[in-house]
Amino acid sequence: MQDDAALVERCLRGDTGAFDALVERYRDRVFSLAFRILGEASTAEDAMQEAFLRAYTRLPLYDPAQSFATWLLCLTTRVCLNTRRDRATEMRYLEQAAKAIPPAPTPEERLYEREQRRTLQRLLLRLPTSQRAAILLYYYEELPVAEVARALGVPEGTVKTWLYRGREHLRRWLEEELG
Amino acid sequence: MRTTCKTLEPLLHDYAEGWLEEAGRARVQRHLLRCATCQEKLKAWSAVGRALRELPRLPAPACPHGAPPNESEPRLALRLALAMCLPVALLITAYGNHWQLPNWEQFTPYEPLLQLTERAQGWVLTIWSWLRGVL
Repeated sequence: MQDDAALVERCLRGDTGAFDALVERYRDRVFSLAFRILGEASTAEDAMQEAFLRAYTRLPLYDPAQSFATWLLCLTTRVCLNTRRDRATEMRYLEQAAKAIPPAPTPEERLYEREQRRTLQRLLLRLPTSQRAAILLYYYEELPVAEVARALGVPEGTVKTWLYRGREHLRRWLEEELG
Repeated sequence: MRTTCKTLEPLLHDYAEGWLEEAGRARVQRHLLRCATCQEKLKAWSAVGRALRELPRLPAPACPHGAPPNESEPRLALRLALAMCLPVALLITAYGNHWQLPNWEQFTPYEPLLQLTERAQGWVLTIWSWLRGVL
C-alpha cells in the first residue's frame, strides 16, 4: 500500500485515482469525526463531502512537512465548525441524537465502560461546538495541542482551557447520569 | 501559599495530561498525597479521556461522497488550453502565409513585422510538434 505522501504526489500530478485512494483510506475517519462534532449522520455526510472537496481543491497548498491525516482532520473540523445551524435545528439534532441511543442497554452492554461510552456520545453533543471539536481532535484523533490550536485558529492556551472545561463537564454529567 | 483543591484544579488537569513542569508536578503530587477528592477527580478524568479515545469509528455511508466532483476536472483545463492552441497556431500560420505572397517585398514598411511573423511561425510549429507528442 502506498503511503499518503506518495498518493498526494500522484494526485498533484493529475492522477485522480490517487485521490480516490486517499478518500477510501480516510472516509470512515473523517465521517466519524464529523458525526461526533455535528451529531447527525446526514449533516456529517455533507461535511465529509465538503471536507474532501476542499482537500481536493486545496491540495496544492498542502505542506508535506505536516501529516496528511492531520491536515485533513483539521480541515474537516473547520468545515464542521462552519456548518451554520440555528438553535431550533440544533435542538432537533440533539433530540435525534438522544433517540438514536436506546434507552435501556442490552444485557451484554451492561458493562460500565460500554454504557459510559454510549452515554458519552450523547453528552458530547451538550458541549459548545468549539470545545467539542477540541476534545475530539485531542482525545479521539489524538492530535497534539499545537495542531488542535492551528485547526481551530486559537492559541494553545485556549485549547488547554477548553480541554479542561470540556473534560470536567463530561465528568460531572457522567457522574449525574451513571452515578 | 496553601494549595487548595479549587486553586489546584486547573493544575491537576495539566498534571493529568503531562503538561506540567517539574515544580508544578511536585506541587500537585504533594497535594494528591493528602487529598482523596482530587485523587478521585484525577481517576475520573482519566476514565473520561480513555472513554473518549475508545469511542468507536463509524463506517461512512456507502456512497463515496468524498470523491472529487468530477474526475476529469483537472484535465478539462488542459483540454481547453490545447483546444485554444490549435486555432491560434492556424491563425498565425495563415497570417504568415498571407504575408509571403510573391509581391510582399513591395511592402517594405512591414518587413520587421514579417520577420517577426516568420519567427513566430517557427515557435508555433515547435510548440505544435511538442503538443502532438504530448497528445
